[in-house]
Amino acid sequence: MLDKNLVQDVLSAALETGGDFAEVFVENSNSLAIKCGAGKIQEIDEGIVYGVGIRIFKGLFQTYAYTNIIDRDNLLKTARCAASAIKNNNEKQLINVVNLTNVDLENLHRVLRFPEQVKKEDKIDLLKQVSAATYDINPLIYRVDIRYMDKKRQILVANSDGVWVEDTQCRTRLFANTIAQRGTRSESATHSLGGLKGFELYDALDIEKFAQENASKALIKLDSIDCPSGKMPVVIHNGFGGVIFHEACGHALEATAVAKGASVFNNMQGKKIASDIVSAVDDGTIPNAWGSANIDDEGNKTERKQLIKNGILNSYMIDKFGSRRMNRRANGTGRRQNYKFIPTSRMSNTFIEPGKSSFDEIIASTEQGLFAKTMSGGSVNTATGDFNFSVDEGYIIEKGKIKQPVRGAKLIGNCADILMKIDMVGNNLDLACGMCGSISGSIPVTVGQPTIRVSEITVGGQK
Amino acid sequence: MESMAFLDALFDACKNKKIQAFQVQYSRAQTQSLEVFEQKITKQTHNNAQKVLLKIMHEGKIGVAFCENLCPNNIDYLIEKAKENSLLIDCDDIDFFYDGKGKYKKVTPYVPDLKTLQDLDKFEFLKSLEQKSYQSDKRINKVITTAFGQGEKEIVMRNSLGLNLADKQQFAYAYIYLSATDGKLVKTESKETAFQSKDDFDVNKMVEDAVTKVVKKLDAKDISNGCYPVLFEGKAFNNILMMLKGLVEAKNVQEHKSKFEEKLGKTVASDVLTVVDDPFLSGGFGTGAFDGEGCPSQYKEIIKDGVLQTYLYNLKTAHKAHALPSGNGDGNDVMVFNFYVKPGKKSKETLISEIKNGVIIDALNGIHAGYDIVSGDFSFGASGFEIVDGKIGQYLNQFTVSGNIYHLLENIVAVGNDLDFDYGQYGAPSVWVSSLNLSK
Repeated sequence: MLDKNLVQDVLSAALETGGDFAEVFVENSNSLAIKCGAGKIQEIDEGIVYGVGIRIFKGLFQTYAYTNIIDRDNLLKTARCAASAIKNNNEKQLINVVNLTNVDLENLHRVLRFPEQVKKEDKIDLLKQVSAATYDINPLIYRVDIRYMDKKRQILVANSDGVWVEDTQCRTRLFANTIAQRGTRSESATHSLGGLKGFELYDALDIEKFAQENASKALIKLDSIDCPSGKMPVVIHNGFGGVIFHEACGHALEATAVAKGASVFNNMQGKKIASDIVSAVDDGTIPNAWGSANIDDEGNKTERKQLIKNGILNSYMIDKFGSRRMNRRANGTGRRQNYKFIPTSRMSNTFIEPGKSSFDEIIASTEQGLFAKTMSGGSVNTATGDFNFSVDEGYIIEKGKIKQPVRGAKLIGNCADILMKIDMVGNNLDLACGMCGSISGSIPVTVGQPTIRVSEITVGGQK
Repeated sequence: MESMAFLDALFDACKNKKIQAFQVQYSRAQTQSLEVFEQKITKQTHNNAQKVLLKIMHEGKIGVAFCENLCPNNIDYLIEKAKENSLLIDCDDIDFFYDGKGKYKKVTPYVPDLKTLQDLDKFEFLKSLEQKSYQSDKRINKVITTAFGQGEKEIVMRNSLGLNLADKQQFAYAYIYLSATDGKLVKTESKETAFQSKDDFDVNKMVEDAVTKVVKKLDAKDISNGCYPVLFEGKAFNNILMMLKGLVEAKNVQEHKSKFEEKLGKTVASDVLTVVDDPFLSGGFGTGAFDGEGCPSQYKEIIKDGVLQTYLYNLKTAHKAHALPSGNGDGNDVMVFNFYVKPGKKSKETLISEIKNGVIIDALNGIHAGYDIVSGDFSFGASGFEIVDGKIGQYLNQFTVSGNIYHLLENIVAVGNDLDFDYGQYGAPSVWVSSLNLSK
C-alpha cells in the first residue's frame, strides 16, 4: 500500500523528538451500500476511504496525526507535526533507524467471492428477492426496507519495533426493517445477517426463512400489550440477547475504562464478579465471524481471551497504550473504525459460554417474569456500572409458560449486581452481529450467549 | 493533487464525458486536540482530512461515489461509479439539483473567541481544571478526562446548473468528565464549554458546575414505581426533539413511518408547544445560509401552538409532495439548523413549585435503542431529581422512563423560559409533561 522505505523514513521522522515508539497505520477501504425500499432501489452509495494515521508514544503520552494527502512530503510533515508534541530536552535531533520485517500471517478467514468479483446487479437481485419474500409472508406487511453493505478493508500496520503487517478484511451485511400494520396500529422489526466473508455468505441464505423470521416479529408485535414495570426474573434468549453481557460487563473490562482506574471492575482480576455458572469469552479468531480479524488495528494477532471463568474475572481486554498504564501485555484488542481514530481496547466476538440447562427447563422453572426474545441494543456508564438496554420482542412468562407478547420494555441495572444474579445458563449458544460505538468509532462486533435467566432485573414498561 | 485543481479537473472530465447533470461536493476538516490526565498531557492530535463526493443524475436518479485521496486516477473512478449507480436506481421518485439562483441571506454563525483562545495556554487550562476539581471537594474520586479541541471545517459545492457555494466553520471546546464517591456510591458528571465568549474561559465556573452536580448525586435514592409529572431539563428534552425531527421528516411521512401523515394544519401537540428551525440565529451552532443540497435556508415554525405547519423537505420529497423545498435537504436525508422549542414565560423554579411533587429528568440514556418511530413507543434509562413540595429533592438512581412520543407531545403542560442549546444545534427550555411511567 505504501513503499517500505517511505514508511521507514516516516517512522524515523516520528521518533526525531524522542518518542519511544512510533506506528504508521494505512487504510484503503472500498465500501458499497445499497438500499431497497418498497421493492425498488432507492440509494446506492460507494467510495474509497483512504488515509494514514501516525502515532507516537513517549511513556504514558501518545500523540496522533492523520492525513489523506498521501505523498512523501506530506507524510513526513504529518509525522513531524505529531512528533512536535514531544518535548526533547536534549534539543538534539535523535537518529532512529527503523528496519521493518514482514510478519507472516496465516489467513484464518478465507473469502471466496470478494465484493468486486460480484456484479452489482446480483447484489440488487438478492435485495429484491428478500424484499419480495417478506411482502409475501402476510398482507399486513406494508413496508419493507432492505439494506446491503459490503466493505473490503485493506490495512497496513508498521511500527518502530520493526513490525510490518498487512491484512485484508472483507465484510458484508444484510439488514432488514419491516413494518406491519393493522388498522391504526403499526409495528416494526429488524433482522440481520453478517460475516467477515464475501458474497458467499448469501449462498447459504434461506431467503424465505430470513423473511419469515423478520416479518413474524413485526406481526407478533401487532398483538403486544403494554409491558409491566418493576423488578422481576427475566429470561434473555440466545443470540443478540448477549448484548446484556456486552453492555453490562464487556465495556467495563476494556482497558479504555480500566487503565485510568475508572471501571467498576478495576483491580478485580482473580475475584468473583459473576455467579459460578457464568464463563465468558472474547474471541477475535473465530473463522469468518463478523467481529473477527487476523490482526487488530495495532498489528497484533487477535486472540481468544477467557474473560470470566466460573464467575472469576480472568482477563481484561488491553490495547497497546492501555498496556503501558496497566503494565500488562496487549492482547490483540486495539481496534478503530478507520484511520481517523486512535485505536483503543474493544470487543470482537464476545459471548457467555454454554451451560447445562435446556431452554425448556429455563422457561418451565420460571413462575412469573419476562422472556426477552430479541434485544435492540443499549449503553453503559463504565464508571458507575449503570447500564440500560431495550427489548425488541418480549413475552410475559406465567406459571412456566410463554404467554402474551409485550411492547416497549427497557431493562436497567448495574454491572456489579446483574452478573451475580444470573441463576440459569442454557446449552443453546448462538451468536449475532451488531455495531458497537465507543471512543474509537463504530466497529463490527458479535454478541452472543445461550438463553440465560437473571433472577431479578428492573423492567421499565408502560404499565 | 491540490484540492481545487482536483475539483476543476473532475468538473472538466464530467463535461468531456458528456455527463449532463452532476454535482461535486468537497469537504475538509482540520482539528487539533489535547487531553490531560494526572497533570500530564496523555494525548495530543493533529488531523487533516478531505473528501470529494460526486453525484451524477440520469433521468431523475442520482448515483453517488466518493473518495478521499485526490489522485488523478480517482477522477475516472468517481465518474464511472456514480454513473453506474445512477443507472441502477429504479425507484419512482424524481431527484433534482439546485441551480443556486435563489437569494442567500448573510448569516453570523457561532465562532469561537479566537483572540482569547490564541493567548490561552491549553495545557495549563486543563491542568488547572483537573487540579481544581480535586481541590474543590474531597469526594471527587477521579477526574477521568479533561480535553480541549479546536478546528475548522470547510465545504465547497458546485454543479452543472451553475451552483457554486463555499462555507467555513470553526469550533473550539473544553470538556471535563469526572466521578465522585462517598465510599459506597460512584456517580459521574460531564461538562462542556464552547469558548464562545470570555465567560467560557472560566475554569472555576466549569469546575463548580461539574463538581456541584456530581456531589449532589451522591445523596441518592431509588424511585418508587409509578406515573409521575415530569420536568425535562432542556438538555434531556433535546433528545425528544431529535425524535420529533424524525416525525416531521417528509421522507418518513411519505414512507408511512410517521403518524404525522395528513396532519398538516392539525393539532399534533399541546398548544404550549412551538418548535422552530432558525438558520439565521446570531451566534447559533447550527446557523447557515444554505442546506446540504445548496438551497437557501429558511426560518420556519414546524409546530405553532401545537399545530403542525410543515414537514422538513429535500428537493426530492418536496417534488413528490407538490410542495416547495423547505431548505432542509441533505442528499437523501434532511438536516436542521437551530432546531428548538420556543421558550415560555415561567422560570424553571416556578414550574417546579407548580408541579409540587414529581420528577426532574436531567439525562436520558440508551436513546439509540429504546425508541421505535413507527409505533412512537419509547423506553429509556433516565436519571434526575425528585420534586418534593415544590422544591428539588434527592437525586434518583437510574430508573426507566416509558411512554409514547405522540402522547408525550399532547401532554406537555408548560415550557420554561430557560432555553438551553447546550453548545449544539438542538435547544429546549425545561418542559413539563403531565404524566410518564417511571420504574426502578
